[in-house]
This record gives sequence, C-alpha cells and structure tokens, in this order.
Amino acid sequence: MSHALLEAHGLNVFRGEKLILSDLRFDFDKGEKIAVIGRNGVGKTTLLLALAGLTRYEGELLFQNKPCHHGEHQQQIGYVPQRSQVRWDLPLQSLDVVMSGTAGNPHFRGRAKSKERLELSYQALLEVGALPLAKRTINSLSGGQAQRVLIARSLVTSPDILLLDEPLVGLDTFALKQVLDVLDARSQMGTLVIAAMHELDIVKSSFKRVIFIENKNSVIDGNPSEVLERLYRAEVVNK
Amino acid sequence: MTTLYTIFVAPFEYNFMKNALLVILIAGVLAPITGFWALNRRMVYMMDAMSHSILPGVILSAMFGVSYLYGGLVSALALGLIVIVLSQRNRAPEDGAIGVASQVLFATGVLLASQNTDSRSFNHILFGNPFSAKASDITLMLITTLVAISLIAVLHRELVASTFDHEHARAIGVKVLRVDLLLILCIAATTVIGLSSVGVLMTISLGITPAVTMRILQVSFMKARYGAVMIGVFAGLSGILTSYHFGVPAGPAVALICAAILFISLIQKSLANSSLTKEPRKSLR
Repeated sequence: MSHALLEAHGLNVFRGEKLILSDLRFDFDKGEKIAVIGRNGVGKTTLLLALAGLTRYEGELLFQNKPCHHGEHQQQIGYVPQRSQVRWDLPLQSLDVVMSGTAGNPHFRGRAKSKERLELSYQALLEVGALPLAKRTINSLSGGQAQRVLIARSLVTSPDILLLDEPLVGLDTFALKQVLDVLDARSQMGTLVIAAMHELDIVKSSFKRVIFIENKNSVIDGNPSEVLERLYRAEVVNK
Repeated sequence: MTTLYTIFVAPFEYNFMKNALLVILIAGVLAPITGFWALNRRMVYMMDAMSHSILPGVILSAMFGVSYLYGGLVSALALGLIVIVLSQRNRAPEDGAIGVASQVLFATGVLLASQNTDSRSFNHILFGNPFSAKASDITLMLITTLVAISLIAVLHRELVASTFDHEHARAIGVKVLRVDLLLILCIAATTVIGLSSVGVLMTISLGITPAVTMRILQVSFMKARYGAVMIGVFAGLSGILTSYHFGVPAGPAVALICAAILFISLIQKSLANSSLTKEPRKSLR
C-alpha cells in the first residue's frame, strides 16, 4: 500500500466540457513542496482547481489511500487563489477575511464556536507574521501583506494540503521572502505544499520537486535542474 | 416644548400613524440589511429589477382579494427563478437575464393594471402608503422580516466568505448558489415589504442608499450594517413625519431624506479629506 498523501492515476481534468489535462499520474507525500510550472493557459490553475475540488475530473484521485471526495476532504485542503481574484475593495478587516476561512466547516458552526474561530484566526495570522495587520482593512494592505492574509485564511483550519496559485506574483524581494518562509515552515510541519509558479529562479532555489506541464498530454515530474533543462529545451524547439 | 410635542409625538396619537410607524420601522430595519448585502455582492441591479417585477403578483392579489404580500413574493421569486434558468442553465449574461425577466414581468403587471386596477391603488403600489396598512398586513410583514433577518444572521459567515472570494468559499464547502438563492429570497421579501411602506420604486433607495453612505464614510464591513439600519430607521421616521406635516407622499420623502444623508456624508468626507491634506503642509512650515 502506498504511503502517499495525494495520488492520481489516469486523471483527466476538465474546464467546463473542455479536456485540459490528460492521463495525469503522480503521488505526493506529506511535507513535500512542489512547484507547478508551464506557459500561461497550459492548465496550472486548472490542476490546482481540480485538486481543490473546484473543477471536474475523471480518473482516480486518492487522499490518504481513499478516493478523494471533496465534500469530506474540503477541510484538509487549503486553497489560496490568485490575489487578483478576490474583492479587495470591500472594507473588511484582515481578521474577518481569515475567520471567513472557517465558513464551510460544520465544526465551527454556531455562536458557541465563535471564541475558537477567533483564536484560530489570530493563530493563523501569527503564523504568517501578519498579527499586527489583524484590524487593518484589506484595501490598505500591500501585495505581500495581502498574500500573507490569504495564506492565513487557508491555514485557519490546519489543512494537510496547501494549494497556492501564483503566490509570488507582484511581490517585492522582502515580501517574497516572507511568503517563502511561511511555505517552508508549513512544509516542515508536514503540510504538502503545491504552488503554481512563474518565477523559475525561485523554483530552482526553493523547491525540490517540480511538475512541468508542457501541454495537455505531457507532464514532466522531477527535480528542478532536470525539469528546467527540459523546459528550456522545449522553449528552444518552440522558437 | 409644545412645538416639539406637536411635531414628534402628537401625530402618533392617531391609529393610522401608529400603524405607519410600525410599517416604516419594519422596512427601515430590513431594507438596509438586505441592501447592504445586495451592494457588496453586486446585486443592486437584481434588487432594482425585483421592485419592478413584483407588479403582476400585486395586481393579481388585488384582483383575487388577497394580501399584496403573497402575490408580490410569488412574482419576486418568479424573477429569481427566470434569471437562474436563463443565466445558470442557458449561459445568458446575468445582467441581461435580469433585464429581460424584470421587463417581461413589469410589462405583464402594467397590462394587468390597465385592465383591472384603479389609478389610486396603482399609485400606492408605486409610491407607497404606510398610513393605510392594516393590522393583518403588519403582522405578516413582521413575521417575514424576522424570518429574513434570522436567515441573514445564520448565513453571516457564508455571506462574508462568498462575497470576498466566491471560488475559495466553494473550495471550503460553502454552498454559494444556495446562499445566493436565500439572499434573493430576502431581497424579494424586502421589496414586498417596501411595497406597503415606501412603494416599490423607493424600496431601492431605502435599501441601497444607507449602505452606499456607509461605504462613502469607509465604515468597516461589520459595523456598516448597524450604521445602515440606523440611517434607514431615521429616514423612515423622518419621512412619515414629513409626509404627515406637509401632505407629501411618504415614499419619496423617505427616499429624499436617505439621499440628503448621503449628500451630508459626502460633504463631511470631503471636509475630512481636505483637513487631512492640509495638516502635513502646516507641519512642513
């Protein structure tokens, strides 16, 4: 029996009716930190959406050796979308955003759980180094601060898997390091971290495993040096 | 002292004013709460369309001698259903679906009204008349309001999560479509209650203007709901007193008072901004 946390066998991923990725096979372990790379529009976000249960897939996806039914496993999977996808114009405080991460979890339902929700939200903000931002309205946050608040929202339910869609886009060097440190710390705590990335230099220096989506039918899985060499070769051929 | 009593207390010695007070308090609490969520979830057009769409149900209720509230609620739900069928099942753009559905229902209502209703009751529907509310209507309105407010309170966390980021909300197990449908139901209830208080055309003012005022004043999301309700209740009370003392329709009076509060908040905001921009210059000197 496999000890992988997340496994896929012959996974076909769709966006609407369109097949985006075909016959995916992988197994990811606890504490791994994996970068998903590839051209824009090749299916990096769609893969994350499938793992988060937000788009249709066919084939076998196993979570801890059991079929992954997203209804049951939703609390074990934290999803951090691209920053541009959320409503930064709302006058919400960072703490409200983090607390909203408990909304779908039946465990946190009811007034009796409000203290627990609050404590876990402060804890998540502390973990990403954003505790001083708790009472700040989100429309006043910088890119790096906003990203850390989004990550805290996903950590509030202590997920086993953390999926991040382009978490470093638009961040300055300092903010970038803060976010990478949070991902490192989580990975060391045993969380499986999977991030769709564009920053190849950071992929090379900070990740030990890379999934390169070349096209619908070709996905390369390996260590950064091997995979990036393959990517550069593919780019030369395409030119 | 006597003048204050004459203006603020004496009118409520009449039964019709007592009823009007209850009706306007009910609408003044519910409309800003649903309006707050409609504004933040970008459903203002839906709320506006709802106010037009309830017309056929209201006219049919009048024809069959049942309360406006039942017919209005059925019409409002018909709008929600048509929009969902057009946009979710047939991929029509949502605002287009709302436009088509509301105009079809409004046109049906106007046709029915032209055949069956006298112009005076049609005016009451459009511009409201809280002074003619009956005890049975008030009870029904109160129950509807309590149900709608309880629903919104229960859904609070789901509403915040899916308003900020609906995709993430889906990922963590929030049933976003169900939340949307329940909110549409609350907006429908608000519109129908607004019908008897400020009229269908002014409900949007009582719902949206207080929420917009809170956004202008940059009041935090959680406090803004209470602020909006305070504006709604104040505008409602002032509106019926203005209507009583000056003989003007209550609905437009409430709508204009809401707009006046918004205007004052704009001035206050620009004054605050200008004093903020002046301060650093002083310190530089």
